[in-house]
Amino acid sequence: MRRARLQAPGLRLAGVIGLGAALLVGLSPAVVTAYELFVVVTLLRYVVLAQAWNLLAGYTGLLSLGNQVFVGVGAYVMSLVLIHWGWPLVAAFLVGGGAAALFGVVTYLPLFRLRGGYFAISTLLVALATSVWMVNWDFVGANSGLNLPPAAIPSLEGQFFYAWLTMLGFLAVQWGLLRTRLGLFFQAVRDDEEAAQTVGTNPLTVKVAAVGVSAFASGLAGGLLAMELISIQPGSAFSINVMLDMLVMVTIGGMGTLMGPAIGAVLLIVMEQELQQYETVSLLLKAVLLIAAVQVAPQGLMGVLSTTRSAATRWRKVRVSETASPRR
Amino acid sequence: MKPLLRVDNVSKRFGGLVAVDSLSLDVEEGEVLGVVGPNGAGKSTLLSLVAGSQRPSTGEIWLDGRRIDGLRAFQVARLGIGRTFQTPRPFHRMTVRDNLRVAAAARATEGRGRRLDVDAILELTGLSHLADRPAGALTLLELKRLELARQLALGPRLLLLDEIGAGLTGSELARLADFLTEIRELGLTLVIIEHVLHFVMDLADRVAVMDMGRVRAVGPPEEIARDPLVIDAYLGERQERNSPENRPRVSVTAPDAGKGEEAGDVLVRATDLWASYGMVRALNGVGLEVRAGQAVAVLGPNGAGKSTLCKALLGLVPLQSGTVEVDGEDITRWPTERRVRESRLVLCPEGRHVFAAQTVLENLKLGRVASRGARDDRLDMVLDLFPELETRTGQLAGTLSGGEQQMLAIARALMSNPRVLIVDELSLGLTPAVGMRIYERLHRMLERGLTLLLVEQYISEVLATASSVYLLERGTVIFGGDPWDIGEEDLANVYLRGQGYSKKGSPRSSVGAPAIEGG
Amino acid sequence: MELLLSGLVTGLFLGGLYALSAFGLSLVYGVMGLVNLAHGDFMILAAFLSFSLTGVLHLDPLVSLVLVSPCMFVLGYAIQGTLINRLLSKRSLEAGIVTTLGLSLILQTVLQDVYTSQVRTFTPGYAARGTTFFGITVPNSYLLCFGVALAVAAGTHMLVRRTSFGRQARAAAEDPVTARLMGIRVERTYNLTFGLGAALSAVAGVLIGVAFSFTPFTGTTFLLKGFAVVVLGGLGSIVGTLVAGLALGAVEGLGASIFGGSYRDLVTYAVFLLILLLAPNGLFGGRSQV
Repeated sequence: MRRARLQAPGLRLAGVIGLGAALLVGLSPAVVTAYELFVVVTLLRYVVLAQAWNLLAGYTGLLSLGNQVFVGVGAYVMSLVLIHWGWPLVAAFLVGGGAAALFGVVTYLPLFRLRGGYFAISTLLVALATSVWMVNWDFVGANSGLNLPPAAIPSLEGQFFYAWLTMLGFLAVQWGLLRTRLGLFFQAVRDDEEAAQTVGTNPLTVKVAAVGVSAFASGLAGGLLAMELISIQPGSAFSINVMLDMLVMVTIGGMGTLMGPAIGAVLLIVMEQELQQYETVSLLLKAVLLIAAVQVAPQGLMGVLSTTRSAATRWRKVRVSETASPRR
Repeated sequence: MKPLLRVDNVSKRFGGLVAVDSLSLDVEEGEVLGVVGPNGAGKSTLLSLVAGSQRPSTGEIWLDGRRIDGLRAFQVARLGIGRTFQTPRPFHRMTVRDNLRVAAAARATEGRGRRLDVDAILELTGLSHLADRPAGALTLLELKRLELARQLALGPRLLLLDEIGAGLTGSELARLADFLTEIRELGLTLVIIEHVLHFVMDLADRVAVMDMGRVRAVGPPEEIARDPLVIDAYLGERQERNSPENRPRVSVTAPDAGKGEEAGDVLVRATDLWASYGMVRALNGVGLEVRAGQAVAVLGPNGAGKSTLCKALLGLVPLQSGTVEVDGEDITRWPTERRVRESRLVLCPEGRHVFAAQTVLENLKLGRVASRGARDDRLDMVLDLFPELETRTGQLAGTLSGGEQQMLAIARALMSNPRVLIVDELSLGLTPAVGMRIYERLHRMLERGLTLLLVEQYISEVLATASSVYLLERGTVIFGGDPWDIGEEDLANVYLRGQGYSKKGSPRSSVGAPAIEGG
Repeated sequence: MELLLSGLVTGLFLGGLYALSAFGLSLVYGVMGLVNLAHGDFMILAAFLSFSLTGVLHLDPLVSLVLVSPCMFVLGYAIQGTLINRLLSKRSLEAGIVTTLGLSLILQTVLQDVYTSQVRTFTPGYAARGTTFFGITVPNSYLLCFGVALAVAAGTHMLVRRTSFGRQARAAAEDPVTARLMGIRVERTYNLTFGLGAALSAVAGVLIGVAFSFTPFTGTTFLLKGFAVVVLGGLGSIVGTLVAGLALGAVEGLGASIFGGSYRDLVTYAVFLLILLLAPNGLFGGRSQV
């Protein structure tokens, strides 16, 4: 049969296994050492970041190079709320995410009319401008940054639960979102913005929603980062390395799929752990992987593993019509 | 009764070009209106104006008493106007069902269109068995059905169909026509834009003929088909048919070219070319030959595959099978640049494509990139041939008139001293007088031994030039031979009625054309 | 008031450097539609190469360009040919951007490893002093930037407008398909263009070292400034890029006088964002699609 077999059972299985793994991870504090727990927490944070970026780029088609700004905003706002208002950690955590979402919508809204390369670079611009601003702003401690109040800092187990719940929550939200109308609109805008208009979809509101959700999750990840670092500076909170990591995870794992970024996150963590001593090599390897992935497997590992060719490749292939034979 | 859609004195200008010119048109609720006209008439622009993807420069558009010309495309869609694209644009990574669900989800707000649920539409359009397939995996006909289904899911009152028959063959076209009739029974108003009259003949209640941005005639299909103005617009000015003895002779260096004798060696041979543009099948086993010193013409209505053939010869369109040989050498796998540089096979493309941002002189200099050897005398020769260009060497090519641009394009192509020159639809958008002037210059080059492959829509233009003609219809060669052997009635069949060439038996042909497909 | 004027004029001359940062970027973007995110890092790479050369051979940094610039050209040519061309043919512009991002990271990492994060600068004698006219003192290095920018602009303008390569590049930029029909080897043209862009960035890089200082991470700032100039000045116009560079320098200088030096970069970003929002196609028009 010539037609593409649908996303094979193999992929659904991968999804189920992934979910199972995610739930099992919840048992971690009971079974692993402190150091291993630390790695797991980091992994969870990476998964959230990767999924957040994937929502923008993979599902909605918006190539953003500035997501790290949401991480930074989330980290800073949470810290500020803790320091100045003394709110409980949970509340501060969520406010951080909300602030990042608001920030994202406001700063990205005017950028949406820009195409491809211009859009990408202007997101980078927003991120850089913000970090320059932060370096000069005394209210947030300028270069010295902020220190979280000791009373508010959670234990490693506490951090774990925050991270785990965030990851699960975001996964659930995504899974749910993709099944609702909004999820359909995301993909329609990604696949063909003009055609989406012909069926009554307003691309602008769709993009705003995508940024809002993505920035919220990234902001929460920022909060997690702040919990880990305890003391945040513009350099660490707005680091472009975060962006690179997101890119690497999603490109290698698979853009536009639910589990792809998670796989990419696992690979990245493994790589970082192995190469802990060799920071330079680690960075270089990331860059090389990124370049290689884009050359060889634009669909990432998920695309390679899938048992069918991606629908996008199919669409571009030349096909002989079924009603005519090559020989008369 | 108030019309459903009113287009009121609408114009659209793109810089200096007027695409739609003070056009007024009404569409009644429940009718099927065909909009036809030659290439460049402004039909597609009109459609995008109504659909909201472009704003009119002047004029107003009303839908059921509500002004819509300033609205954005998605707002127009929500008000109940659906549109399809010439080449289907599915959400290729989403399933068929999800494609429809997007439309169904968005329709909620406004519009009073007829509603059907997604499964019912899948049933109606025969896509139920494909519901869970990714849209990117469908065939062309299935994609066209999907495009229609998606629009139905929107629940529109008015549906704009942009050349929905493009790329489909006989039986597929018939099936599509049947399907459209069914849709119409749902109470939808249809506006069908088409190049070829015959497809809309059976379907439409009324037909509007557009030309140069205006509506020239509106009426029931039978009237329109008989209207001499319309026939003229489609078939071009008919020359008085003379007997072969009286026909104007073009003197070429090779004796009796095209009369069946050897006119020089075969320079270009295309064999059994099969090609598609993505999903659209464009060439079905096309073959042709061009001999040295000969002028060969390729004719056919819009969508016949003439331009695709030219592009295939130059390697701009991938071939599924077949070969292209120049001077005995198989160039089928060569990249375009190489074909130009080494085989000196030069194409003057449809639409001219001069480099608008560069001057006339710069364009000409670009033409000789491919050639080695003597430079300046080539330039002199070309400017001598087209004195109109000589006075404009410093002018930006984009500011030239259509005729001047065509001359520049040909001059540019001649700069590299081509072995074979292919010119695709040089008369497009030009007045007959200007076209004839350009042909006259081509004749001069023919006298100097140029080998020419001409693509044109209308036979009248090539009768005086070509010694051999191929007639293409929907990607198939249905006639190859002496241009004076083609009957007028047969041409009308092909161009107006799409019924194919009906002459029985194979024609006397000097070039071994494939067997004819019966009507 | 004098302070403002001084800031404005000084900034104007410095703007030459911004223009220089933009020429290569503009060429590459104009011809291929590719945003080269590694452009700034090319500049810094050249600066470091020059640094090593001048250290060993005791050359004036500008003289070292004679060697460094062709090296960068070859590097650029190779990168385009091996990595980017095949992505362009697949219409995958995003993949191209991501690739340049990867290259950027590689460059920064390698440079940091080899040269450490220590701040470097060139200090040829003439650069330390300033020239005073009409009561305003402009550092000689800024004057140098201005002068070199004019020279490079003139040279590049000639190249683009008067040579066969320039015509072919413009043809490929406007209509790559028809360009092929002319027998133009479009891929080779892309290679040459990218190489040229890298060679031009070398000039900017060395001047950054003369006028300021640099670390392996300075590239990003100049990437953005370069891009701001490209957007301001419009594509396809070397003259426009030059003017935009000078203008940006002047505005930045003015802003720095008013708000203080550490906000210098912020002024640029703000202006840039403003322009992007008001005129997405640049002030002089340009590519409207990527």
